[in-house]
Amino acid sequence: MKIDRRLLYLVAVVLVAVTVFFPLGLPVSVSKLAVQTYDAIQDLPDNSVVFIAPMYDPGTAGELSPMLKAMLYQCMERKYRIILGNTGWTLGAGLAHTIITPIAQEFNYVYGTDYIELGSKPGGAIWLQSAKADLPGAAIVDYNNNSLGQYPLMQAVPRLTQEYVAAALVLDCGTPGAPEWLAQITQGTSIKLIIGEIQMTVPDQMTFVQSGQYAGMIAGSRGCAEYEQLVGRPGAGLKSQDTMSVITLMITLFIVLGNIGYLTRKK
Amino acid sequence: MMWLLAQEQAPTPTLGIFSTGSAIDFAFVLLLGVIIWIMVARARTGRKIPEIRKIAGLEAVDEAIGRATEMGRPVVFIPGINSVDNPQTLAAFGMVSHIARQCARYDTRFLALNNDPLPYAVIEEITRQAYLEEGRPDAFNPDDIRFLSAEQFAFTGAVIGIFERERPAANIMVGSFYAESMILAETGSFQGMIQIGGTANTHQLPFFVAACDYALIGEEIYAASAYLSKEPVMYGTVVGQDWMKIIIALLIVTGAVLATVSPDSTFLSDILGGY
Amino acid sequence: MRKEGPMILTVLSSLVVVFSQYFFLGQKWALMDPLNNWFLISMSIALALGFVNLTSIHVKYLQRKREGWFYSIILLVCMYGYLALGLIQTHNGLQFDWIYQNAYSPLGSTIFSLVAFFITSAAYRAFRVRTKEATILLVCAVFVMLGRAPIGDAMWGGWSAFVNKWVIGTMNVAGMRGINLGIAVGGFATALRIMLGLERAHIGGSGTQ
Repeated sequence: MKIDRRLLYLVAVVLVAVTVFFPLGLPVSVSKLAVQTYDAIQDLPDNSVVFIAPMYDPGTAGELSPMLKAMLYQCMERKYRIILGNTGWTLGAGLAHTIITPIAQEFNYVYGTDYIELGSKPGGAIWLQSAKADLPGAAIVDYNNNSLGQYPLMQAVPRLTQEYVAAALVLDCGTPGAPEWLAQITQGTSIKLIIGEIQMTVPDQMTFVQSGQYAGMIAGSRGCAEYEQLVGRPGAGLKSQDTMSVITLMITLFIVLGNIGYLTRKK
Repeated sequence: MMWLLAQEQAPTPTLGIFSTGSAIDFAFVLLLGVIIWIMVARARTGRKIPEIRKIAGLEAVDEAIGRATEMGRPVVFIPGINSVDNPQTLAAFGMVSHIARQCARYDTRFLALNNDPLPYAVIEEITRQAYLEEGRPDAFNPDDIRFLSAEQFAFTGAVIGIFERERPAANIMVGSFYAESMILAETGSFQGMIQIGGTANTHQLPFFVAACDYALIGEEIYAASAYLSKEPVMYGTVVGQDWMKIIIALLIVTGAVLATVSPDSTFLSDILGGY
Repeated sequence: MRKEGPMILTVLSSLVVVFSQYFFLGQKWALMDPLNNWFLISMSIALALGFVNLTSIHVKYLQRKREGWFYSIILLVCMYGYLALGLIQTHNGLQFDWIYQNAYSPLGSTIFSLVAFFITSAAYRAFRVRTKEATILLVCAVFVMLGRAPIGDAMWGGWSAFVNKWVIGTMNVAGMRGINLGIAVGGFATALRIMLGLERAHIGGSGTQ
């Protein structure tokens, strides 16, 4: 039977709305991958410098911003020094700025000493090559257009190399993304590369996790929900899981209905 | 704190001339180049080169253009949303030349919709040249080669709008696609277009397979230029890349056997990773 | 020289990139640095080309009073207005940031959210058990979907662990590695074809040499 697709959309909207206002509270089990990712960040040496790269835009912010939040909570609880910046994702810098500002205030992080925002720089893999040789030279100014030379944190990190940076936490949804970080910065070094991926790119990136090239991966919104539980800061990732369950069931039902109609017509 | 205070080690060349850890990488680059050159030389001297197997998506390109010609509606081409530094965009350029020629030949309107200004400039030139070589320079309309937006979803919205207004009969999407692939393919499907979708971004392939009539999976897009031109020299490059894959597969099998027979041995990884 | 010039430039630039990437002296001399800067500059110039194209097309629509010409006015006003605002205020400006946060950003998220609806309609329309392979694919897809949502664990406690370990972690990785290897070699061969001058489509040639 042929169902008007607008009816399918209406059902989807209603189900999403219902689960937002009336959550089911289904438990979310924590996977080994989430534990591996949490431990990879947690086990960095004290006072490490981590480079957090929000390489995404508003389209995927729903999935990746909760991951960024949870990562920032974990890093700031561990008192790591944070460099926040990306290349090729102009809109991601603004999104990250609105997320890090209140969290930094909560942990009394001092701008320029404990953390810094570089904003978004053009160039992708080319910029990463330049940053590897000279980070302040490649970045030039911070998110607020101030010269970087005045900040103690940037004085302590002249290059994006293993001598200065312990880990790169990359939130990735396209190109440039985690593979560029792997190829240009972390491959063959001791810098741990830990990524956050949208669900649709998880199968693609799993090969790198298995080979050890990524130290960990937050796998989609389900991975974010697991990670938030480990960090102890339940947020939007965990809240979205009930909606995820209901929509998954709905899509399964539509597939079954569609095939029933197809097989009936075929006979 | 140790690594903060540690002296930076000066990089040391491998084998005296290569960057640290780059010798084996360069060897593979050279090997692929030599294999391709050998195959091209064989093709140029008229020796037999293996044929490329039938790729349904590429066979369907002419069918799609023919359908658009019969219906009097345009053919739309979208070369992905990355710039010219992406090999998939370069593969798309190989297809544009063929499609533009066919459209010029059959007087079918050809629309190329671009997300990035650099591919836009290149495709405009390729299309202009194709129309010139077909003897139809007057038929070339530069306004049909459009840069829509550098922002992914603004571009998507614009393309959907063009689909609704221009009602193309054929939609060929080959290149680097991301989340917009589902939106574009499904909208095209609603419009009843014949659709050919191809990308090497594996996370988008399921959407093309589900919503398009024909899908080009991964490296099939890189064979497009050779396949459509049917030139032995280009076939030679595709054969060269297949030989390289065979060599890599043999290395993988060797590594798997070594790891099974002698798990503690690091012979192969020392060679491949040590230089 | 119209085609030979760009070809020579392409080959020379490629050789510089290869030399810088693989050879010690190339890295020491930092030959890539000027190339990198030129690439960034040319991208910015190309953006101006894009502006010119958009302006040209929409001004023509206005002149011909083409259907929907009013939207062309909106596009041109927004495009040049936001550009002017950005040049005057920089990206930290109050109004510039407000428009970005409250108009531009939600618009992008809205269009992206269409993917969910289109997946729904595609699931109903396109996922058919036409062949044996399609059936296997369908069953596997439903199994993985339910395994990745908490509802799967609610139905069977080990569902997500099984999916993560065996389907995504083993079968998927094996297949993905094969596909990715092929794509990597294919991409490299394409670049090599351009470097060797065998492929000329990008400079307006007939596609081959």
